[in-house]
Amino acid sequence: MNYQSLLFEVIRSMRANVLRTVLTMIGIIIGIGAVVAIMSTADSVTATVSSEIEKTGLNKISLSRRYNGITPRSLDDSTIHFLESLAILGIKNYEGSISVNTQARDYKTGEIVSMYINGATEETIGDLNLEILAGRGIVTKEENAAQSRVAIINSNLVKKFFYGDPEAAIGEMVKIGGSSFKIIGVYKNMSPFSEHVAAVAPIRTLMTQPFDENGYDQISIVLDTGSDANTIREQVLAAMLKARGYSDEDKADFSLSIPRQELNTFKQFMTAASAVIALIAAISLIVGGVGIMNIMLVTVTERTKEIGLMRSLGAKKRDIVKQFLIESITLTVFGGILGVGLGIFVAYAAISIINMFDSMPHFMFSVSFIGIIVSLIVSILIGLIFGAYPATRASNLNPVEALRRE
Amino acid sequence: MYRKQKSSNTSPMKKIICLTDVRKTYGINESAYEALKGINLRINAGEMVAVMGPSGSGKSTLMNILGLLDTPSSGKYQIDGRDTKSLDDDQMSELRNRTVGFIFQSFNLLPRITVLENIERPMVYAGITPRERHASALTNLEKVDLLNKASRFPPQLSGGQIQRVAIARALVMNPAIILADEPTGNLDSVTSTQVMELLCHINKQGNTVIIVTHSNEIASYAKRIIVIRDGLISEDKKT
Repeated sequence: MNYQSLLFEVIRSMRANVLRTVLTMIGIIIGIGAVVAIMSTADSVTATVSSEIEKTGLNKISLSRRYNGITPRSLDDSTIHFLESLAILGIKNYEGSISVNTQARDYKTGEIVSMYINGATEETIGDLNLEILAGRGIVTKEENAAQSRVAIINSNLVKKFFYGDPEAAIGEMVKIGGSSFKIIGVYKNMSPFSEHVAAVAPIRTLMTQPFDENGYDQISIVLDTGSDANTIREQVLAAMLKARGYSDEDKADFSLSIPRQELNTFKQFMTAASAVIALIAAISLIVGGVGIMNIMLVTVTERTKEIGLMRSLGAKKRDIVKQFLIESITLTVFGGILGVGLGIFVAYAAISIINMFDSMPHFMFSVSFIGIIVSLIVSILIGLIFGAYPATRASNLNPVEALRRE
Repeated sequence: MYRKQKSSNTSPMKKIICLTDVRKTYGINESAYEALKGINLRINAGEMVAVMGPSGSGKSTLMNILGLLDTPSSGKYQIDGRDTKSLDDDQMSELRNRTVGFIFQSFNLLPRITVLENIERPMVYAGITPRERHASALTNLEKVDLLNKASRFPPQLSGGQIQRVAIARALVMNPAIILADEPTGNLDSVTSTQVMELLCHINKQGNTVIIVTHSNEIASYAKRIIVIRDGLISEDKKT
């Protein structure tokens, strides 16, 4: 039996009755659509979070303050000097970082907006990957040493205070956290939809009035390429616990995390979570399959005489089975393809809507290829499983009685 | 895969069909109904036979058994030298495919596929390659003089044309036996004559032709007339 001619015949009869075909496939379209939408949305979230974490570097260990019932001791240059004195092998350098939630005020109008100001050094500013629209995107060593009140602001702040003109903002003053900052650069906001206001200033500046940051929020222990993060973490942990007088990591006022491991844990969680939700959505595929079976049984009844004719022309039982299976599989695969399209569209719409709100980070859109491949395989299986009974029934029709049917 | 069958219809005295005490019973016990009550029949290769009889006489049952669509309840049926009792469903299908060509009163073309694809269908089941199918279907369409309708769909043709397409389909596997069940039942007298002349012509090429009919006029085309009554052969005459 020739598959190609059978396939053409099936497609022709599907086209002859488009409405019925679409109604038959709707269960599959929605089921597959839901699975692909869920998996693609989850993939988008995973890809976005991964890239956020990767942007700050994965080859490091993060040392942070931990609020464990008491106010944790600060992490400052003395902490860094202490760690440096240990001379642990495999560590490249230490980078402290500060991020302060504060307010900006427009000198002309007095308007106030909530914002974040992040500290940077001449070395760490490169890690932020700022896209500069005007002025400069670096802070100098001198500015850090002098604790200069200079800031690189993002385009959202420019939109609020300077009518969206980046060039006009350069050299102007803005009040951040109650202190005057000179604007030396403007960088592009990451998301076109986000209203997030932020600025970058020399990290030393944030340790003075008005912020008075007592040390760093976090110290990144940057590792040499090829270093084993776990071994180094153990060494740092032991030294810190001893220095701060703790016996147990769980009681300490600091924490040490390995971003790469956290990222992997997160990815595993997302995969498991999306698989579970997709599986629940896949239940609707059973409903879709029953719809296919129903219409195939109708088709068999409608074509009883044809089946008798085919048998009289020499079709074996398995030829009849094949023909009806190809028909049901064609239906489910077409439904699956349409469902994949629908799912991608829904996921894209969902991500776009999320991005319209004031959210950071900006979500990237990613299509789940595993989701698509699994969906198409599942489509074939549904056609096979739910088409099997009607096809067998067709093949077992008595040729004489089938031919007599009108 | 595909072998041209010449052997079966070259020697005229060879028995192509041989029924020995064939009975067919429908239902069981009290409701049992015996449609054929012991048919003995020999048909030689190359004969043109008409089977006549009133409704309910059992001639349809006989046709179904001859065409391998049904099996006898008892008795022996040999077709082209093979006993049908030993055949399974697949072998029956193969034999139908290669040895028997059906022509129906209601034509039975598939409406959704073209004339040419309809003629190709038996070859599809025989596993013949598309190229060979195509060529062979065209040759047979030419025999019934409808080459210009190859890519039409059956609903676009007249009744006579449809039946000629059906004849081309019956011929395409070059079967030893052509079984025509009331082939002119749905046709007017002019097209009936055309169809019968075509069947006579096919018979002259060597195919055994068996026609079931009510009409004496149609039966007169045959060289042998078999009359069935109450499940038995009541007459068997040469004309």
